Amino acid sequence: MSQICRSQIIEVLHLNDRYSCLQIYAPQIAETAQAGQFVNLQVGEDGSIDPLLKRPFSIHRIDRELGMIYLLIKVVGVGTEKLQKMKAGQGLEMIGPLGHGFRLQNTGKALLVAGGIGIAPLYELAVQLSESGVEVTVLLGVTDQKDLILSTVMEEYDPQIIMVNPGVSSQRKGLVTELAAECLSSKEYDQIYVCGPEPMLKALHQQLGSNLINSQFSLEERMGCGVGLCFSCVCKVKQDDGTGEWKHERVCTCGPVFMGNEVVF
Amino acid sequence: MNRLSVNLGKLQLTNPIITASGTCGFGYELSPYLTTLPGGIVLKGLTLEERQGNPTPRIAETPAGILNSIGLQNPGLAKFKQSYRTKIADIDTCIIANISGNTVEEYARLTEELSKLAEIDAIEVNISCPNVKKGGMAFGTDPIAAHQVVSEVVKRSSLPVIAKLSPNVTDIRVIARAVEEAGADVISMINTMLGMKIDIRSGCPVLGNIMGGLSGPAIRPIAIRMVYQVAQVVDIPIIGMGGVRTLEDVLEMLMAGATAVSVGTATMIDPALPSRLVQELADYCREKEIVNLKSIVGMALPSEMNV
Repeated sequence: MSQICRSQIIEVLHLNDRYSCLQIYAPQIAETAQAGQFVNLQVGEDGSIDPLLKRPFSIHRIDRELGMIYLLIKVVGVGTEKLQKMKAGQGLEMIGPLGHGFRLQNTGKALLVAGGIGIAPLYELAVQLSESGVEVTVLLGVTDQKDLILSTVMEEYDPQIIMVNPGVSSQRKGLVTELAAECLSSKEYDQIYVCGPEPMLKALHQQLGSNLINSQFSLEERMGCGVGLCFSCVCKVKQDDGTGEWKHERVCTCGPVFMGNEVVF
Repeated sequence: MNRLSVNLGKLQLTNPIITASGTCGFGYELSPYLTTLPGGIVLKGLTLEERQGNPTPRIAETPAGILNSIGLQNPGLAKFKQSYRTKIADIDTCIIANISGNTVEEYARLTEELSKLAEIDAIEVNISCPNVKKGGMAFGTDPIAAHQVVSEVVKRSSLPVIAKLSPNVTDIRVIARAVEEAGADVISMINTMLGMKIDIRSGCPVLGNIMGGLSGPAIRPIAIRMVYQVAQVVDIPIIGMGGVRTLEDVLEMLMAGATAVSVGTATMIDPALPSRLVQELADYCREKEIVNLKSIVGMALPSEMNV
């Protein structure tokens, strides 16, 4: 069950002018949060009318013992700009944990594919999978030098557990979807997890073929309330009746993680 | 004695705070966050057939407001009866269904079917949705069409009927009088103002459906003005809404002439807000020794109107 709580910023780590990592004290949320879930976070002052809405962020990392959650943030507009300028000690209203996270299996091999800031929810997933003995491969697609900082985010935590692009050099030119195709043709993966911009999701969705059934996609859509009230953040999923028709489902309450074989691009 | 109870015609509410249609799902999504129940919950708009709604993006933030173009996505009457009504059965407050149709006959059929359900306490007739091509706002911007659809609903309904008005008109009083004459028990107002936003980087409209309805604090002065105008020309009670999110806003709306007050956009930001407003209004009445809200309803109206 999600809760509305007053959280406190412990640290804002500026990775570069595009990315920051927020460490937030929110023990009620950390206690029950699952990898792939998100929080809806106030970004302005209390009672701010501009920006008005809370903003959804994937939970990047959970530290239950200390009651902390971490959010990896990309500055894309007014809300994230304000968040990046927050100072340690500041309080913010937060609702969470929200939505359905990743459904983890404890055995076999997992391929995690991220595009840019899509890496955010995959960190906690990679840690949990690794801890349960799953062999994890993480692929990260970046567009420029500034994005490269995202790979250090993954590397800084025990690289023996999390391997970034094992078997290939840590960086190479090309599309992450091409690299994913190579991985999938050279090895069998039991679980595939994807998070990134829509064109990347769509391309991977098309090329996964029989692997779709083992895949999970974390989707993003413009959100209003984050808790299922407003029907703003919908995506297309297959109807349950087997007709092959699609229907709109709310990303906030039915997702943000959907099975590859139910989502329609 | 309950200082907060109000009567909306035949409909009695334990308090004057209502959650507006489209901002509280089908009630069950919001109820876990509610420690004190609002006097009424208006369900997401229903149509006869299931609707998938408009393409995304469906929401955009604007100064002190939001634009939305959901397009009445809803499960349709059959699926609502089958799998949604049980989810609202345990919510112990007035449940108000909100209906939309492409034709008068569709409104009439929805009314007949919903009147039979024990879970539903009143029907709100949406003649003001700005986000659908047919029906919706087309009925709410023409007094003759508004009269026609509301009188048909009143004829077929065994429940109190609320007519929800659009602000996208030159003179809202004309529409208000038409729905009163058609037999509406209550008027709710205002729905969203038609608006638009353009992404200056791409040069394209932000919303998938291009235009959308503006809500939030940005439209509150318009809502206050319209409630004030309508309160002077109708005798039926008004549910006032438009940008309300604090106790002060609730009081302002009551003073403009509303008997009850809906919150919408503000619930999307803080789902616990409706409960908090009920508490704050109760505290305010205790402190100011207000025993009946009638003493502040319409306080701002010209003195000969102030009854």
